[in-house]
Amino acid sequence: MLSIKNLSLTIGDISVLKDIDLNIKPGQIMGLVGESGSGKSMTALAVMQLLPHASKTSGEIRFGDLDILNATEKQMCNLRGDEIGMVFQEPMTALNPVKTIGEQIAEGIRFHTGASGKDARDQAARILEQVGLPTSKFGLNRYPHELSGGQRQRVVIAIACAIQPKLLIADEPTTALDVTIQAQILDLLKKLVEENNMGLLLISHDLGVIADAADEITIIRSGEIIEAGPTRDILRNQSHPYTRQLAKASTHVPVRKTKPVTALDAKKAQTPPLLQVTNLICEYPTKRNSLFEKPLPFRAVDDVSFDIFPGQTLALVGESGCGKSTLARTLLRVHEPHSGGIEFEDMDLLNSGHQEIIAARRHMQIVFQDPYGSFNPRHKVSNIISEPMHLVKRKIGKDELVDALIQVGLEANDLEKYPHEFSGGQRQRIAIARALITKPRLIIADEPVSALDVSIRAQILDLLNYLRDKFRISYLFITHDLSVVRAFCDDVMVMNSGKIVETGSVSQLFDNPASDYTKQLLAAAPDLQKTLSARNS
Amino acid sequence: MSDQSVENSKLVHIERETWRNFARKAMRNRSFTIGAAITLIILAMALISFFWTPFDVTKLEIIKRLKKPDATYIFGTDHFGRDMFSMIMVGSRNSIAVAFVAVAIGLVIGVPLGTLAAARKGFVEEVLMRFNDLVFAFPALLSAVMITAIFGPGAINAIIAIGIFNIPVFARLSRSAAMTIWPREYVMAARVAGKSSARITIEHILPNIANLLIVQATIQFSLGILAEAGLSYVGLGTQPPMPSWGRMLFEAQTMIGFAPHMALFPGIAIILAVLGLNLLGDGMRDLLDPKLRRER
Repeated sequence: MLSIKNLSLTIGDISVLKDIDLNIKPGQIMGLVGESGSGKSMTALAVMQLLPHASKTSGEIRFGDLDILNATEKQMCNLRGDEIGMVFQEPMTALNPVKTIGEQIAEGIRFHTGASGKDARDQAARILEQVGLPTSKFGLNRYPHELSGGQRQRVVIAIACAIQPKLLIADEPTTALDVTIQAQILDLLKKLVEENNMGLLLISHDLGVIADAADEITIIRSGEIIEAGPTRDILRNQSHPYTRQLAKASTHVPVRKTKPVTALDAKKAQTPPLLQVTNLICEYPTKRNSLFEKPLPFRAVDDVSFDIFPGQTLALVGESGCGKSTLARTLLRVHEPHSGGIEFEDMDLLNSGHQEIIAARRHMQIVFQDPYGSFNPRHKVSNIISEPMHLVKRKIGKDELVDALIQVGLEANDLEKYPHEFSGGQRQRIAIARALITKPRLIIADEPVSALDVSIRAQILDLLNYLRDKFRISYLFITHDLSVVRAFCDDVMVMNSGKIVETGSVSQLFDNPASDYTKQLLAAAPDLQKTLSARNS
Repeated sequence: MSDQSVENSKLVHIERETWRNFARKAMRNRSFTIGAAITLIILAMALISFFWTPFDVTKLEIIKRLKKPDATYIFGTDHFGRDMFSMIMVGSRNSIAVAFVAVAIGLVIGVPLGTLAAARKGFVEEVLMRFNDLVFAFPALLSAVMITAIFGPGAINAIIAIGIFNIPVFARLSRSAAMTIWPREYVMAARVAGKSSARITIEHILPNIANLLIVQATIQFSLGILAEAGLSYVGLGTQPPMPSWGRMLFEAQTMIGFAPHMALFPGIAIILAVLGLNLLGDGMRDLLDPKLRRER
């Protein structure tokens, strides 16, 4: 149905794609896997002829009888949305916020089929039913902001599938979603492919997702196809070194030299906890109804208690909006809690003076998720990583800064550079160097590897592991990615709508989850190893 | 690691490229270049007037009154026989000085208030911003008339009046801009490093909102020139014998039938100054604010 032959693409003077070959048959799911910048999205945009200006293509893209590269804009307009649908990554921005979901779905139907308003609405209702948003509960007159992220992505899929396209292109459709929602959306896509016998080009950086969903897989790196074929064969044989490398990085487990520290062991050995949190409650004011009424509070963290012991790596797992980040920020006293207690090494952090809190803070540092947003773009690396030295009230020598950089795998001459000169992985190293500069005992890592490609993620996990072994640092490791938890952490805490629903050691929690929510999370998480063994048998 | 450093040097190279691109873009941006040219000409005029003007603007020569523009008096003379061109030169000095100090007052008082409101939130913010709204609610010229009516007319009072009007403009702008920077993670990192709000504002917030402030300052500057002209026109601004664009217009009013050049040239001067600064501001906004930047 869709066949791409020798597709090459240059934008300006930069070669983006080289000799891409790809075929999709009706009813087939083709997985396109690659790291960021590999040209996955550009391949999709080339099919839709939505490439940026100054791009030159050569080769051939055929869709049915149509030669896409030589098609007129009018032919493409008929093709887009009618024969080929597209689903984007970010459900928050892919919908028009001032139109109802019904209007947005009907719009495409009316444009392409010339149906009357009523027919289009009826059809929109049918499609919404099909994507799991029954109109009895989700009326056509709802606005996008009234829906959750997963529901919005369903609407986006509904728009793309409204007039039963022959081909659907889904560019990272689940990357912005939580694992349970991700599993639902993937199931939905699989169901639609089966019911409508359409082809699906599923683009993802996550080998786990692709291994689970795709019939065929194409692995792409820097614009070139590395390997292609049936998913099972490719992932079982792993004949190309890059495929091996990707699969290995996806399931990478850092080698720990010291013994894991679990809460159970620590309590047995009567080690005093490093951080003790008791009955912590954090509230946000919500929108107030009138000027004189007190706004109603929203409880983001609800009666949370836990301990972190020296050297322990405690994972905090939960879906977006469950209160993970609020908890982290409260521990650092960036947010004020409503009530509860935080003790750090026997010091009451909530009722101490400013000076004492400053002194304690040097032992608690944070690493953020976004390696692009966590540095002031106008500061040099030397300024960035020496910032926490403010806590110690001491000027830091250049030697120490150089040491700090070398420790995280960067070079001395990186000190004089600005953040934009580094790649994502290098930036995360800078963030870690900044957190380490005061020689902290506890690092709160808020999704430190979520924004990174798998190979970089493996490197950063190795680095965090190395530091843990060397300095006996404790981590509070906040993540939504269960495979990272399993590879890296000692104990796990599962959080759901502000409450801790389950705590336990990694092995205990993964093998014998007690709460329903944990079971649900585990079932939804894409697990490459599990999928592979299931496919092999 | 050698691969890495090759990559890095490439990135540095790209960054230098972008600086050159920036300069090229600035030269290609028509509003920026035209605006900058006009502004520079007026600035130059004002500076030269300190050392040299074609004629003495304080010397009255009734014999030469109301001359039409010719080779000696290129803009003609007024009803006291003073050279209009010299008066416009000296007048530009006045307009620029008043507008400049007024913008400075707005920046120096407004920006700290705005960033304080963004940093403190809650009650402090509420009080500051509502007070801002109060000042903002009076039309600029009206409050200026009020102030000069109370304290008496004069250049200094005009400056203060226009300056006060500028305060809420900068307070609002810097507050809303600072509020977009505060939730950024590097600010969070600075807070974790124990830095005070004041220090974070100076180190992290201000450098990142400077672009916006510069653009707004340019536009307020042009409004300042306009306001000064307005105040002088009603006799509340710069006092005689110091020439001022606004009063030149006022004096021309009764003679517009037989000496239109007396109104024409100060009017053109005001229009050009305001236009030039506005174009400059627009051009800078296009260049500095990536969100509004359009590829041409």
